[in-house]
Amino acid sequence: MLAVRLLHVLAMALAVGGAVAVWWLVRRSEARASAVGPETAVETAVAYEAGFWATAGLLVMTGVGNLGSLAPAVPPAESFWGTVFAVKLLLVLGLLAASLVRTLVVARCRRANRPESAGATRTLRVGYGATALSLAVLVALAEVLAHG
Amino acid sequence: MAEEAETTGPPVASGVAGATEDPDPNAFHRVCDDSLVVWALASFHTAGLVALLVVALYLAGPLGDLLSGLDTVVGLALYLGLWAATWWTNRRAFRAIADAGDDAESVSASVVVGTGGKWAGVDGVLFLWMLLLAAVFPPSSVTLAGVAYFLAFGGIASLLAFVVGAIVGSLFALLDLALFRAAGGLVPKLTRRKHEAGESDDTA
Repeated sequence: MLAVRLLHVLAMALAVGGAVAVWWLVRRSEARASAVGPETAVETAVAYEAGFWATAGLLVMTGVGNLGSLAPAVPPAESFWGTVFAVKLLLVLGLLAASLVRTLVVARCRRANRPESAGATRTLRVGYGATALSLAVLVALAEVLAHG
Repeated sequence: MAEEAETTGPPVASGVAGATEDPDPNAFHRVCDDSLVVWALASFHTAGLVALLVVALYLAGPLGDLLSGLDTVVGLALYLGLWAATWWTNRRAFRAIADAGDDAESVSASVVVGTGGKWAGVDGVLFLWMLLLAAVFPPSSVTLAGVAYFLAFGGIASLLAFVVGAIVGSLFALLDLALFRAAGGLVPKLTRRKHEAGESDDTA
């Protein structure tokens, strides 16, 4: 169904674009005399986290819908397609678990009204960078699955 | 409320004179009123469970046949229903955990796993009812005998769904605890000064 695929692509675009934007903001906030303060970066991160979990849920939901368009001829697990698909699903599971940790760190910074130290800011920067990279790898794997 | 939760619980002495450390500010019972954490956990549980099921069914083989028999709109509606039910049960679980106490001794891992398991059992029953509802639609072919069958079947299946949901929920609660601990290790512990008049509670 075209609407399901459109939703899938839009959700992924929001997730990737948002992660890159927050990573950039956090990075800017680390610089001295930057116009972007740590509070602004954390507020943006909180907004992204709420949106991220909405898009993550949508991505899994529409991902299963996309898979349904192949059914019943889903290639077997022993094939190249199956290997890439299994790797993609494992990466999705890993990203979901790691993202919960990232969200908890952001929630912690929000509750303190600011990142408490350079260590917390660095954790956020690394977290968003890793999220953006993982999502980019997922997009690449999706391309392989769709076009071989 | 979130800031209020920050100041509850017994702080422990830190090495800084006149300051205390909150041992685990992200503990379950301290984030019960954090809507972001509840939303993240509910979405994580729903998406994680579905992704795990897809992996298991794909590796076992019958995924293609199952998906070909599932209408797209019904599938999306069931997912959204599970998501909503999981969010609601997670909220209730957090509230119950917070009610259990405000320190690490009264809110042990067993309390978190037990409460999480119980509400996940409720989630399982709610999802089963959604499945049964989806199975009887469209209602044009519903008969009295069919309704009686579904009520009897639903009653027995609800017990089973509760048990399955509770087991899955307990496993997720264990995973949640591990992820909460991992997050706690990634940020410096909150150090705060002992409350003095005219002073802020938090110091970085």
